[in-house]
Amino acid sequence: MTAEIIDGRKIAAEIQAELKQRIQRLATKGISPKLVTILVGEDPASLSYLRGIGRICGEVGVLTETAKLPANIVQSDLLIKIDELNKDTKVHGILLFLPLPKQLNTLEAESAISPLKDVDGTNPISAGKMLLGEETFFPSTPFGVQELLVRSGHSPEGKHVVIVGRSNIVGKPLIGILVQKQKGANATVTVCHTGTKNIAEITQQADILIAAMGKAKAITADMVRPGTIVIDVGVNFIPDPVTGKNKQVGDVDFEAVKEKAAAITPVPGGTGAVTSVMLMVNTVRAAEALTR
Amino acid sequence: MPAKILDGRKISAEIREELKGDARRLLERGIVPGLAGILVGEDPGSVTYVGLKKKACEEIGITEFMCKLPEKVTESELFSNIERLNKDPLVHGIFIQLPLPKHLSSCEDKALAAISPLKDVDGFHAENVGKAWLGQSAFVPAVAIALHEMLIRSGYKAKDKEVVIVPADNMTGKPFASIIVQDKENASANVTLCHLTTPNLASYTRRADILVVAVNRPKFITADMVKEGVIVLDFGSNFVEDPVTKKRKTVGDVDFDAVKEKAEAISPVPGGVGPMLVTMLMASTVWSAKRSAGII
Repeated sequence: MTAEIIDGRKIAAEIQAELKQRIQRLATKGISPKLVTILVGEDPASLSYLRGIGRICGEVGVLTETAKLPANIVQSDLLIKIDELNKDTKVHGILLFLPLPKQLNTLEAESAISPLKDVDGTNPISAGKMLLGEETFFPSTPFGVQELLVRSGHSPEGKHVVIVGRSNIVGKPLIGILVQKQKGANATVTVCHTGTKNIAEITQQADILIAAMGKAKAITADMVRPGTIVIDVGVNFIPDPVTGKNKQVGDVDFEAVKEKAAAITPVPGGTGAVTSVMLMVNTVRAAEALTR
Repeated sequence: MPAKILDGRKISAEIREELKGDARRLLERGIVPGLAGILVGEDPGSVTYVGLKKKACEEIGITEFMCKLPEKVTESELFSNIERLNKDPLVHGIFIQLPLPKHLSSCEDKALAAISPLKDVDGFHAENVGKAWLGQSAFVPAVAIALHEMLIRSGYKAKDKEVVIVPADNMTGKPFASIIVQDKENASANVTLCHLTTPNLASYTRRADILVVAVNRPKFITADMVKEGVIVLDFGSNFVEDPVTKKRKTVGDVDFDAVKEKAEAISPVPGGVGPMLVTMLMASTVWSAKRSAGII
């Protein structure tokens, strides 16, 4: 029996609609949520990400500006810019595009962003608060995974979640989010990785299996117990065997696993679609914090 | 065959000898590690703990800057003392002996957050929690380092092992997970974080190669909840009445007599992780001094 396909685009659209209402309420109080992105140099992937952010800000109704800094900027000048944005009362969210040019200290720059405006959750203070269960901004991708689970009717509460992949961007924050004793969390969480020797034995224990390793089609049908909820966070580009063109696939062997899973997210159209809108959720929340 | 008993007192003594050596070498460079403790009031438990920390400092060669404040101290006086210690270059570690008196209990979190992250030897500051979780250089709570050292120094590897932690709390479970999940030497385990409320908890604990428990319930972990050859690290602390002698005694979370017949190794209570805590605080202080000297 084929799995329920969890529609990330539909969930993203739901969230967007809710955000528009929240933004309207803020407008009546004279507040326009604003996200400022910092782009140092001209990294093509960052430029592409920037375009995506511009588009979604436009769709949702969040103001956005980009601080374009020269690739050869010195650390102290970058920190001055971040400090300026921290102090600007009209700026609610600050996003720093990575990677930064080699002469800059990324950790120091990320730590300089005020936790009240750290909408991408990259300041270690945000990561710490998240692990401690204190109020903070969650990074977009893991936040999106939680939203997707809850809104598709597969809340992780009381369930065994197995996360494959322990990166700082997805795996580790996801552990931090799902282990909290709160609604939409309160799961028993296991984390393993691509190097785990008996990985299939572990993945088969999952009620909810989250693949975040960055390895195309690494989760195969034999690794999945029938009836599992499978969430695919992988984004891999591989050549299509027929057309020869590069196409986007996840970490899960979709065609095979969908015959075993109870529900599964496709790539594209799954978690990726929700990730983009979570940055908007955080920016609106940052603006709403001013009204409290 | 009964389990190897992991002797926390012995491991603690070993580590203290190493720290004495570290302190001597730092002294040759003109650096003396400094630990400042803030003690408010005269709560007997707090006074005892601070006394143990002072003694350990003297034994190892750490200068102690104990800041004794009267019970009735104001919030602003407390914070100005924290600020003063933050700025003092001779102080490499600052801790606040908890709990604070009732009139200050609402600002406990604020006070802990006011300690400079560079001197937060207890590892409670969100910045250190975050950095440690992300695998960066940071202070980690003493209990987590103690559990890790006990494991490594007893010759057990965590790599690729199933480590099960109950509960996933901020004091013990999550800090230990922070260490053992990293893609690093002596870590890189497959970690499972459980709660007291986890349905069918035994099905998780039975998978553990290494089981860490800190629920504070006597005989919580019974023999049927563990597999043969498990390594059990017990950080539970329960005050119970001995059925035979009728005297009060401290026990852990593990049904020790039954579990020791199945386990490969077990840390007893008392005599396991507990005796290591003050020593690991000293270790964090020496580490802080090395870091500020640019040695590590």
